[in-house]
Amino acid sequence: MKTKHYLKLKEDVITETLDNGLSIVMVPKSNYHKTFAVLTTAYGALDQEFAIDDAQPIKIPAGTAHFLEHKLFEKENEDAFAKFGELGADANAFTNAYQTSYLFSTTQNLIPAITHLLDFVQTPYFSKQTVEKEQGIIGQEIQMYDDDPNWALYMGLLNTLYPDSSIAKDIAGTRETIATITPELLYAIHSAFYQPTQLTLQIVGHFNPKEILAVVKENQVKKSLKLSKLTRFSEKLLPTKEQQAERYFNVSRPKVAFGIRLDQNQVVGIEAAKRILIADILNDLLFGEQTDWYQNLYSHGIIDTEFETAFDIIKDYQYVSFFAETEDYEILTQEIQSQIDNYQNVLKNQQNAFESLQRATVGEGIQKLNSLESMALQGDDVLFGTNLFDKIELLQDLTFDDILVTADKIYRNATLQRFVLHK
Amino acid sequence: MKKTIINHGANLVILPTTQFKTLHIAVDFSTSVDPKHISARTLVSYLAGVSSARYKTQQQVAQKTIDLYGAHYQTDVFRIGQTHHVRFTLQVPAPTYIMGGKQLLTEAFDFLSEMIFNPLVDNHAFNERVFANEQQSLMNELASVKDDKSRYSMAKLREITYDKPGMCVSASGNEEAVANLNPSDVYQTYQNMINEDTMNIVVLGDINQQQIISLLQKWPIGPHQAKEDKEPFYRQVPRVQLREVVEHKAAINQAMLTMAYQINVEPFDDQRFAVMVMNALLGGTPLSKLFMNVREKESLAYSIYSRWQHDTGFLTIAAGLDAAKVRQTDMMIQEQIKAIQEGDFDNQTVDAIKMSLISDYLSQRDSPSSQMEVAFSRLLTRRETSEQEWIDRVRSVTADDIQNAAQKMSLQSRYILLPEV
Repeated sequence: MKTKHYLKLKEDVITETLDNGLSIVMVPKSNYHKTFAVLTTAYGALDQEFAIDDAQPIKIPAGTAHFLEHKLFEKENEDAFAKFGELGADANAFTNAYQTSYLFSTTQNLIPAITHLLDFVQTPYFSKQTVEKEQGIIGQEIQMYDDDPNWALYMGLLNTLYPDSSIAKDIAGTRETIATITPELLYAIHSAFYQPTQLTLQIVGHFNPKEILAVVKENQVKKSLKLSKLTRFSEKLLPTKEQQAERYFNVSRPKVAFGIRLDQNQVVGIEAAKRILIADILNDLLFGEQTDWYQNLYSHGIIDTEFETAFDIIKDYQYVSFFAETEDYEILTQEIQSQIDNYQNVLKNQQNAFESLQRATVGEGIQKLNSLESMALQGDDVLFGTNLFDKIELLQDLTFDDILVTADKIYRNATLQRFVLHK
Repeated sequence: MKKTIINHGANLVILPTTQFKTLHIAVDFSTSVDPKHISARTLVSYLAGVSSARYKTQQQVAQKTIDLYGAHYQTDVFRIGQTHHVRFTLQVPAPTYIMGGKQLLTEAFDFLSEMIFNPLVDNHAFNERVFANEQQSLMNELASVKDDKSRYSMAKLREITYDKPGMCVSASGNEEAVANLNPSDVYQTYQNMINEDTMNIVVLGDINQQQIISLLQKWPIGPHQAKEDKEPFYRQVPRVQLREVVEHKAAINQAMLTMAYQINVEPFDDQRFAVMVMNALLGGTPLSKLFMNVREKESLAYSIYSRWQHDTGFLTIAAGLDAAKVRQTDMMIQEQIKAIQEGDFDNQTVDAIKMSLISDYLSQRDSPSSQMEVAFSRLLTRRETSEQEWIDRVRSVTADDIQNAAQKMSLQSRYILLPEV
């Protein structure tokens, strides 16, 4: 067991890797009532192709990671989800672009719930019949998202930035793609992406770390899990086709999204986590509520409190995005473009503004530490190996120079793309 | 729970704790719901969210929250039964965790006092420029309810469920009423709120009781505020005739089925624990009949749940489903209710559901906002159930109690939203 102390934040993070490769991360919070546990594999909707032990590569239909997540809960003679309920624990699961996570929280029966979490995720059961039934339920889920304008806006933007790529596809897939999923495919994926070396168990809350570790070890020793070599294939990204796209939708006001795609400067690990923190402060300096730019547009009714910016790095994808609800999206387009063209001037003499934003961002980071769920899920653990505490420390070390350097990387010669959801 | 009265006007509850890395202040103004004033009160909350005499623009308010180490300042409106609430909340990082944060506590109280008591006003009316912006912004928000079919359906269900006009409107009011407001009416509404509403304050964090009281004594709280205390609970005489509305809407894929059932149990009757367990068994948890049978076994609806509203005595059911399956799903929902009425459920499931209700209840202690919500609820209802009593009451609910509670359900209204064919 290794313990890292975060002195200022008064937090400890205990880590351990078992002989079979399973990683365990524990954050004890003895003054809480609840414990939150998550078992994660770094396999998500972006994975399109893989190979085991140098065999022929296998293609993964869109929506499979999410489908597998649903299916793991169903066993031959029981429902894994209901079993959490029987223990009084509250369970859930989610799939995003780059990870699949299974989680529960509870104030009682912690040990049985943890062994159940490990057992149900590590013991697959797929049959032709249950796979067919799931195709029906997920069909409903896909329909539900089809009616959600915010989802349509986000997907529309990603399609404009990254035409035909896996990030622009719905995480749930389509009715057609999920219809091609078979039990054999699910077993193959499970043995590749759910082997212990690919799994991390995080536990945050009220528990005894030594006791938990012993229980997890005992549980893993009992299982004979096959280890194999996993090869992932990264996606070849197509160039952007259009600068503007649009779609009609059932909305009362147009929703508009803008994006800037960054193809250069691929970054990984801590550097990537840092770049996101820097870009967020940079975007606040250029487009935040406290800027004259924002104030001017807000007071003219061109943007409202729905306006937001984001910066994402997800594997090979790196992009800035802007979201708004407005009739005046032509004016907004010009205003964003001109702020980007003018970024060097806007950032001049902004050292003080940077420092106050930095303090505020650190303060916001500290406020997130109340929530066990945030501690376990809002770090960049899966993508870059940095937790929420690391991020607060990284933030404290940033300088204004970091902002200026990153501004050049993001906004020099940037191409702004737009997607509109019309009423 | 210890209550202090500040300046003969406001009730204060202080919750000292080192469990969290934050400090919270919440101020709640409540009064009986009057449909004439709901929209204006919502607009007050919008105006106070972005401006004050000292911080004249949203930009200045945003800068101030940045200077308060990333404080979260928020204004909200909501209703509890027949009372309407305007609530101001401020969250800042706990001073212990930030460098140079000694003054933060004082600054936080000063800022909140400014936002509540010192609005941006010219000649007894809200500043016109800010007013026009926020009026538009609220109208946009109300218009966008239509874009979210679940929110829209629940609003429609509300309209046909209640007999009293004040109960039919949403807590945020309606677009048309907002369009007709002017800066001086809304200022009058604000004055009434400050001077006549019940005012409750809850403060939570690593704090010293005496220090908080002395900070609050500087606030300009008048002596008249506790003049009329309103009970939030609402109960309606059950209707014999079902009200049903079916509406078609273009460009949606899925249908929504929503229903409101009345359960005739007085607010503080001990049977409320049975109703709570019954709701959890019907559709309030993943172990429930609606979830297990309608969703999991028959794949009829991806989202389906029931919710028990203690404040109004209604239990609502909502399902998002394939338009062709509305009738079938409705029938199946009725079968689940009937099953509970007839005692067709097993003890094991009931025990699990009780455990999960108790776990949820204890988990609330891990969230500052839930702890504060409990304190507000105790202030508003003037009732307090201890932790042990609450747990004991849930545990002692029997299968008979659950059956009885289900037998009290009476369907009052049904609203169905269908895609246009």
